[in-house]
Amino acid sequence: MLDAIRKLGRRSLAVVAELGRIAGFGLGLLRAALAPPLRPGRVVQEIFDVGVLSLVIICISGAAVGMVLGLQGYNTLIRFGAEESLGAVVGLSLVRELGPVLTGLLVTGRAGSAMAAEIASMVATEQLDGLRMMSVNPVHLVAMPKAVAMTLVMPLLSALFTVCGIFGGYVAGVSILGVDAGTYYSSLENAVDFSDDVSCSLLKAFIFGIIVGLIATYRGYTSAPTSAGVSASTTGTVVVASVTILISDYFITALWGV
Amino acid sequence: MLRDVCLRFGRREVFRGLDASFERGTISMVLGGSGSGKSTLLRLIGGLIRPDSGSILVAGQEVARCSSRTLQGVRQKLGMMFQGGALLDSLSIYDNLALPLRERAHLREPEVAEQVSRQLAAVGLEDTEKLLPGQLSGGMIKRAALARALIASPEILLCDEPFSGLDPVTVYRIEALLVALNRSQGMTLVVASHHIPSTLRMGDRLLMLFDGRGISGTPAELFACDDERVREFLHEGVAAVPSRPLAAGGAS
Repeated sequence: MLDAIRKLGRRSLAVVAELGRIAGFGLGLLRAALAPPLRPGRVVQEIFDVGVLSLVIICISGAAVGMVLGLQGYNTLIRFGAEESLGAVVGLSLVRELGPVLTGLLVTGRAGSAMAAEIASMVATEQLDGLRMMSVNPVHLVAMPKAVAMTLVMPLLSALFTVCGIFGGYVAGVSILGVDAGTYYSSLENAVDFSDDVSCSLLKAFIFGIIVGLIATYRGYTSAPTSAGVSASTTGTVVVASVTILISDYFITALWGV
Repeated sequence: MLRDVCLRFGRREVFRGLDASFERGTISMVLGGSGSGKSTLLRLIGGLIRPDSGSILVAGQEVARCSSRTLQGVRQKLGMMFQGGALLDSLSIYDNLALPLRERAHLREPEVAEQVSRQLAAVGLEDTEKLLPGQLSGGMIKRAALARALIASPEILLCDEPFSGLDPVTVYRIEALLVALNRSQGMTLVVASHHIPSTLRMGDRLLMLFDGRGISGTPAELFACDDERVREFLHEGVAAVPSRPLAAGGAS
């Protein structure tokens, strides 16, 4: 019994220590983002890697999710004779919840894991030590542009996911199931409020961007300098960032009503 | 200067009370078997790892327990060539060499280009500026890494296995370059190497690592040393390879 309590205590302390290290790393990233040089060229390159190269997966996934929502929403609403509300159901589901959350999960899997793997392989091949020996701060040169790009790109990709989803819902509801196009758009327009729903959706995606950027760069930066370390940092990023997105989504929704 | 340095990786004791000094303006060669701690010693001097105990003075600064700001200042006097090169694989060879000049010296681009070309020519890599590290052979990567370590004109150069994987002509060329830098600019060199002929040609002093401690002296002193491990290591190393004296000096 005492051993179990000791073990629990040790694990709790380890978790708190790890959270402290992540917070310290996050502060380092923030300092690096505010300190000159701002490295716009590297940030733009990272935005391309994270954003542009994720466009296809975001568009296809968004459209597919929207079509499923359209189909399921129609089949449910028609039971109550409320199929004219399909636009509102699809729009609100995507804007308030599915857009930011699914974008966060997809970007974590595609770009977050790649980000962690890239930094971890730099650790394994002593590239970060090489920078340190040149008095170049690796957080400033390598990690900061990636984290900033992730934070900036996530709201944009989330918005794109939502738009593609609404289009997918339109295809399923209007083109396939015969809901009136005007009804679909008017219910969507009436239900979705820009200042409340859309801006909060973007805020949520922005927070998820910070989470994924921080976790991916931290896991890569602190990985063991071995190929197993690269692999562990990659899978660790996907697991930890995905779970953190889902948990923080609940708290953001519950506390702020976003 | 290292005094009573102890370092442990988990259960493995790498150094137990290591004392060593590398005099300013000399070429010191660090020898030892695989896993004896040669690379670790260079990383300790560079402040990349901290010892469990003991003192490490580099350019008059204690690096074993200093702040990161102090360490950054010390590293401006250091250059380090890593065993695997440690070149940034997403940047071209030109950008790799230009990086310290842009980041630290804030030179204008024409000056950067001039210095990069000069340094690449010195290591015989004139036509590689646009290539990525992944497009070079192992030996070429080592030479590019050496060029990057030298480009900011450090006072102290740490080289980790600079001759492994190089052909004999390139070995001789690199030796001559390092010796010339030492003789003409007074650059202090600390070189970890398995290459006994080069070690004996270049080294003013040798440090041999055995069992977490060091045995140091001039090449002649170590050849005359009674320690069986030292004798075995040195005599086995030179048995088959005749050494060739360097134009710029060094033991032969």
